[in-house]
Parts: sequence; C-alpha cells; structure tokens
Amino acid sequence: MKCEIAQPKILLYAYGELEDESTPELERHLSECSACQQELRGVQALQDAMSLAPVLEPSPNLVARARVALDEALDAMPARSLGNRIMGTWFGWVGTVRTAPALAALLVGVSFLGGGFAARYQDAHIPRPKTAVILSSAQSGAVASVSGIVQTPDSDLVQVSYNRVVPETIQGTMDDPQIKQLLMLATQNRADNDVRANSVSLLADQCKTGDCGSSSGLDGTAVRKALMVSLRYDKSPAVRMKALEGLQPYVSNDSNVRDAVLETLMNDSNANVRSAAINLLQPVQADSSVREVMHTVSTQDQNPYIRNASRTYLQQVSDIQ
Amino acid sequence: MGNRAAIDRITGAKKSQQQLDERAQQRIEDAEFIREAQKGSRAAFDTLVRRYDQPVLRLALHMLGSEQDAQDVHQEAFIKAYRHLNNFRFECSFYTWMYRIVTNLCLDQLRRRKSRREDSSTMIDASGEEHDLLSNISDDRAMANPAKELERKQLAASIAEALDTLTPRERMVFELKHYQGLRLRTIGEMLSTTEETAKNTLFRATRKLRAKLAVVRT
Repeated sequence: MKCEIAQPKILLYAYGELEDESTPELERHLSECSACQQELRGVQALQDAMSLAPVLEPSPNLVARARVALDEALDAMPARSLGNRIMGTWFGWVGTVRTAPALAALLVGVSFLGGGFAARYQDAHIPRPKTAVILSSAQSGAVASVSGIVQTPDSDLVQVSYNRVVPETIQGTMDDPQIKQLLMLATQNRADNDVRANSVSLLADQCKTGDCGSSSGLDGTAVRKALMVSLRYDKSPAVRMKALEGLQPYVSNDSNVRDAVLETLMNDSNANVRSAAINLLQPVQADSSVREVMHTVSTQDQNPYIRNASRTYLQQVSDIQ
Repeated sequence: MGNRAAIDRITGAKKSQQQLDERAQQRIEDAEFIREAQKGSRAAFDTLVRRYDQPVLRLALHMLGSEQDAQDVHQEAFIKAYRHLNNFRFECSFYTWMYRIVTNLCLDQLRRRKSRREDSSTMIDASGEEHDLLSNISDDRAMANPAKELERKQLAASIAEALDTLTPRERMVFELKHYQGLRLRTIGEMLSTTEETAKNTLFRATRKLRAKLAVVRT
C-alpha cells in the first residue's frame, strides 16, 4: 500500500470506520512505514486531547427540569386531529409491514400460491351471497328503561343506568342468517301487520323453494317453527295463509307441521285458511289423524264449502283404499 | 496493533452480539410505541420521551455548553417530534430520526451564535451564572500536581477554542463521530447527506483541529 492511499485511511482506522478487508493491509503498511505511524500517532493524540472536553451526563436536576417543562408544553398543545390520527394509523400499518419482513414475505407468498390468474378470475366471478351491511345506526336513541339508580354516599351525585333503543337498518340477501333471524323476530311484531305479513311471506317463499335455512347455516326447523307460530296465533288471516303456504313442503315429512295444519283446519276462524289447509293435506291422506280431523270437519264446520271439501277429501281417500 | 482495543473503546465501534440484540429489541418496542403515539396516545409518546431524553440532553449539552440552551433544544425537539410524528415512516430508527431533529436545532443555535460571535468556551448554567466549561473536568492526578493542572487547563481552553473554529456542520460531524461514537453512515442519515460527505467533513474537521492544536502534533 502506498502512503497516499494509506494516509486517508488512517483517520477512518482510528475511528473504527475502516472496512474490514482494508484493515490487515493498512496494519501491514503501518508496521513498515514510519511516516504513516507518525500520522496515526497524530490522530490518536488529537483523540486523546479532545477527551479533555468529555461528554457529561446531564444532571438529574436538568433532566427533571426538562421533563416537567416538556410535559407542560405538550399539555398546552391541542390534541392531535382525527385526520392526523388516521394518517398515523395508515403509516403505522405500513410501518408494521416494513418492520416485519417475514409478514411481508408471507403476504407476497400467499398471493402467489393463491393460484393462477384464471383460477382467481373464475373464483372472483362465482356469485356469492353478499354479507349483510348495516346501513344506518343512529348514535343515540330513545331511552327505553332505567335499569338502576345508585346514590353516592356523602355527595350529591346520583348514578343512573339506563338502556337506549338504537334504531338500525341492515341490508342483505335471504341467505344471510342474520337477515333470517331478524325476519323471524319480525313475525312476532304485534303492532304492525305489514311487518308480520312481509316477514312471513319472505320466510314462506324461502321455505317453498325447499330452503328453510340449512344453506345459510341456520337450523331449518327454526324457520318452520316461526311459521307454525304465525299459523296458529297470527291475528291476520293473510299472514296465516302465507305461513300455510310456506309450510306446504313439510306436511308430508314433519308431523309437527301436519299437526299445526290440522289444528288450523279445526280451529282457524277464516274459511279461506281452513280451505287452504284441506288442500295442503292432500299428500297425507293415508294418515289416520288426518282422516279423523276431516271427518269432524265434514260434519261440524260452519262453512258448507269446507264441509263439502272435506267430504270430497274423505271420498278420495276411501276410493284409494 | 495493540491500541486497536483502545480505539474500539473510544469509538464504540465493536458491538457485542448482546448489544446488537438489545438494540433490535428496542427498535421493535419503539415501533410499537410510535404506532400508538401516531394513533393519538400521549402515554406512548411520553414513553418515547423517557427513552430518549437523556441522550438528547447529553448531545445538546455537549454541543452547546449551556444547560439552558440544552433544555430549550430538548423541548423544541420533542415538540417537533410530537407534531410531525405522522411523517415518521419507519425508514430509519426513531433514535436516528430524533437525533436528526436535535442536530438541526443545535446547528441553528450554533449558526446564530456564530453570527453573534459568542464565546462558547464559557458555560451558563440554569441560574444564569457563567462558569468555565473545563471546571467540570476532575482529575485527581492533575489536582495533585498544580503545574500539570495548569497545563491541562490551558490545553482544554485551546481545545474549546479549536472546536469553535469549526463550521457548525464540521462541529456537528466531529461531535457525532468523536463524542457520540456514531457510525459515519448514521451521521450521514442524520444530517440528510451521504456517508461520503460525512467522511469528508470529518477529514476537514480533524485537519482544522490538528492545525489549531499544533501542540498535540507529534
């Protein structure tokens, strides 16, 4: 190594900044060259001399004073705005990915392994039910009830716990279990006939297609039970009729449904509903309890048309047998 | 070379594996606190302040030689950091980012002083009382020998004078390299320049200092 090359490296060497591969070569040169040795001694002498102005630890007093002053200054500052915080969250997330190379690599890897472009295209075009979306949710609602009152002793403070009714709107397809749950709840709405009619009608339509909820993860019998409750107790004949239509596919297989329909045939106040019930029972003519009910109806129903229809029904049964 | 260990001790160049691990761990924790602070958590920011306020004060105190100025820089630096925390993009460590703010504030202060031609070899403490920067240095051996003590004081005075001849930027690079033991690459990052420029600035600074302190030349 020549002195012109070695000289600039000496300072870096003295400060531990010389790259590892150059160090042995420089050290070899230094062991042979007195001029460069002198340069190194000069640098080291400077380093030693400069240590006469050492870096002092700040006194505990200074640290404490600085902290208090800073705390006060920060307290006096306005809180960080929402926009700032959103930006912060975003860059924080970016930072997470940056500082987590493993996670970043995993994300890239997963997207590659996710399959070819064509597969992804097909996948993207499979019609899938949309998940329910809450459209509106008022921040506050009417106070529904007061659940507790606590008076703090020795002060004039009173703590009142209450429940609020918060109206919300949700949108989704019939396949969504949440929507279905809400519709079932709606069938019990006492105040509004339309709400009951619409909910029963929607659930019944769903059942007519043979899907009472099993596809959306709900137990199908839950929807059927809701329809049976409507059939038995709903005060509106139109709603009961709808419920009856919804139950039609289950008359032959579900004895509970059959009993409910028979009960309707016996007790329903509306002739149209009773008449529809007779038609519904066509596939289960062989059932003895059905025949018994038909027999009672054919003699006791106040409506001549119903009596006639049930007689016809019984005739058909005897013809078959 | 026998004095290699001594050089490493001065510059802190060689870091043990344990130190490196601790530093990595600290960086991960910092990132967590920064994210919390960016979301608006004052407590998380306070934690960052507690972690870094002593190094910040140490640097400012040594650069500026005045407790009051150091405290001002400390306060201004952390308020700046708080205001602009959302600009922190996790491209460097929080330590580097914070030091960048502090070095800029110190540079401004030094430039203002240069223009006012202030004498930085004296130190003004919080009570406003001026005292000699070098009275802080205690050396029992020197105290035992008044002649040596005088010589040392004279040398120290000329060191302060020599440091004062550097441009603010040279002073800063020399401070960060010699006294704070930072890597030139980090210094470059802090001063928003390249490692090469930082290296050249260090060359210029040491050349000036050696010329001023001809007495330490062998």
